[in-house]
Amino acid sequence: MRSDERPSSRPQDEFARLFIQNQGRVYGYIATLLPNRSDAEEILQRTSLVMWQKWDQFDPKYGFVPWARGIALNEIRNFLRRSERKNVHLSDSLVSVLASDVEKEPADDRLTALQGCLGKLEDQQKVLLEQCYLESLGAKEIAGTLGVSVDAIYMRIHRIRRVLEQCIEKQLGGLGSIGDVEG
Amino acid sequence: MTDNRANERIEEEVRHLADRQCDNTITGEELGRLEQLLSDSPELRKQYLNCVRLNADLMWLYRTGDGAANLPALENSSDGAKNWLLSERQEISGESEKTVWRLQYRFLKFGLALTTLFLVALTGVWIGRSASMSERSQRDDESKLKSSSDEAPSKALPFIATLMRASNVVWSETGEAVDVGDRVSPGEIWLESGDAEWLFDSGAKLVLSGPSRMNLQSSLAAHLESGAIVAHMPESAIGFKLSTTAADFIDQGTEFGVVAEHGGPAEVHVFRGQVDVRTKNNVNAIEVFTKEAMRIESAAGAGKTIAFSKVPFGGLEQRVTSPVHWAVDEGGNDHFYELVVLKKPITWHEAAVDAMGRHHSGLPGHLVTVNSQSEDQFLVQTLIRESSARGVWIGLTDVLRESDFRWITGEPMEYANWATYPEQQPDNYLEADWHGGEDYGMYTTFPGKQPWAWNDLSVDSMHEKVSAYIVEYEPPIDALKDRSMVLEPICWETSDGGNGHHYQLVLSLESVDWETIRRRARNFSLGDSMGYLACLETEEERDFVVQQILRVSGIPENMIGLSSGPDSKLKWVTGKPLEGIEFGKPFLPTGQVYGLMFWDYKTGRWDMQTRSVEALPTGWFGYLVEYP
Repeated sequence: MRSDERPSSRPQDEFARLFIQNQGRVYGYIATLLPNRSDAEEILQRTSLVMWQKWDQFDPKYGFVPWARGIALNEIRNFLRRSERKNVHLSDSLVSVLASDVEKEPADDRLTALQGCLGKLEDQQKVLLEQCYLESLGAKEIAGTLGVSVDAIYMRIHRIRRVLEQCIEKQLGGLGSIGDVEG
Repeated sequence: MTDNRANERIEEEVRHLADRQCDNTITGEELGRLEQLLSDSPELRKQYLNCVRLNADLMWLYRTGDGAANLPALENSSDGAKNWLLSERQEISGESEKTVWRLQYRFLKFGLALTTLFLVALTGVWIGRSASMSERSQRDDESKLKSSSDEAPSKALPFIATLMRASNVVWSETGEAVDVGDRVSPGEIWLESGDAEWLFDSGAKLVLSGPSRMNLQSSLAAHLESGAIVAHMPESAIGFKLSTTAADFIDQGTEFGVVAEHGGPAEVHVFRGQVDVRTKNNVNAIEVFTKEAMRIESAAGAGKTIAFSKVPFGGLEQRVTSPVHWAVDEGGNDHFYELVVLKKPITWHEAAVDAMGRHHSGLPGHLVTVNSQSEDQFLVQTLIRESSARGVWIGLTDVLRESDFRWITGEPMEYANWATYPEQQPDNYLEADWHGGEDYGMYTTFPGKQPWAWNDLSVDSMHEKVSAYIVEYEPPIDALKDRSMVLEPICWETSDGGNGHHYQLVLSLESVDWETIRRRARNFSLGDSMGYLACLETEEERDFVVQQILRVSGIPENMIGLSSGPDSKLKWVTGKPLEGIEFGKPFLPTGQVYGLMFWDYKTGRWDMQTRSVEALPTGWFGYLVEYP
């Protein structure tokens, strides 16, 4: 058999392709409902395992991402019930309401918008984001290197998030640039 | 207008709380407030979702390196920020060229994609559906993963755990060496020998014993490829999954140990609590409870109940098991007990000192005292019987007066459980050692002939080595209410060559200075005689106190009535100068000092020492009161 005569893909190849293609959206969904980084990583991993276990039940007509989100939400709920970490997470019922809010929102490309907005940040703001998100440095450590207070670091990060939120809103609405937004 | 401003304030509050949640700094109270605000208002939920979704997207972009892809914009930036960023990177990578750094992130992105692919491939193996996937393709994936991870900087992955302690560790050459205190990202740990204690960010504590191979996956998951591990899971780590080739073990709030044989069977022994065992072919979890154990032969097999034992963990389980509580509602005294089993023998004195160096709920312990049959049975059934110990020291001694056994805490001896085989104990077996008898209490047993009971043994018996002891911890509240214990005064009889004075040891937990203790001692009285901090002016007097009081108590630090005045000369509280007594070297050069009788572990001797008056005791200590 010539290579181009093979079936287009074996099941696991198809799964891997779809998963890699969409894992950012799945991760985004999970981390929106569970903002803690290690919790989100854990749920992504569990979700991918369950998805693969149930791969033969996947019906393409409903779409890969909605299917993945359903499984992820189930895993999140199980996680919240099992972990019972009081005072760390929002309640199971509120997270379910938030999940349904997410489903109702129109599909948009926030990630691309965010990338565009990141490019417009001031350099020092980018450095701070990198230290915070890329290098996983704690606010205390960053504050130490910069010689400012921990609260000041949190305040700067919050301000950057505000700037990005407003920029994304404008981008998605087809409007201006980050320069229009107050820092 | 007022409504608008109020709404704006609430929206700002939601944004602030969402930020705090994203930063992991939100308090329980704030979380409650956030929950309340979001439950009632779709608008506020929308606001909240915008905040947390941005955080989620940022985590994703920087996780995959796409966030770093915006770096070219920096090339046209101000020098200050550029230099700042560059210096940060040079510290990490030693490279000064940005291009290298950017390239690394492209590799990282590629690497993570392959990691995911590999995860999927592994999953296929995990659920037994890998029949269609050839071993070769899996090997290919593994090699891709390795090469990509070589190129990708690990700093983009989140840290999930910290190496807290390591003893005699030898890391495999093929794995990465880790230092104590290092934070680690998900990845594989190869330990050839020694023990390594990991504290996961979820609070889970895992002690890995070499040779072993483990994959740290997240703050709530690890895969044990082979080797032995013991785990302590606090409430925050409930749901932690320890997977092996044969089965997954899901913690439900517990202490347990797992042994995994390479590529094959696994065993779980639950020291306390509950573990759910999930085999590959059985989705329904099998619950394993305290002192139960299960062996799973293979991924395809079912679990089989086996006898619970701590033996496979060779004492490692002590690192994760909390002291056992004898609760009042179980007929107990609310105290806590801990069996310590060592790899080599320990003398009674060393055990006594070591027990006092151990803490539970912030309070130091002491060698156990057994005051009733029910306490005796509790200790045997809960701690001793299931251990591998052959003999266990307890806080009992008759070193003060032969055949007059006393508890180390000064409690009266109202209950006894002496062994009757092979001889009725205590027998003070005179040939035992050069001390001329057996003066220290221990638990012993002769299988089939003598259940666990007490025996007297010499401190360094040549006949029977003891390498275990039980520590007892008082309940925190009681101990804090009464922070000192006064032992009976003992007279140095003139008929024995003494001075006729009485000496009394007071044990204290209060962290107070010598001067306070000196004043306190003056408030003690015995009959018409007023007390003062003991002045051990002669070798004979000191020997009497050591032999008759300090050896029994086992407390390593005991204040005496010696101090240096402003002229730096040492003198007794009676005003007499210090003469003719050999002195231990002070710990540190210092100004004003006080004196103490100190048990020196290294020499195995009681020495007279001095210490800075600024150094306050940190645990149990004693002070000696003398009555003329």
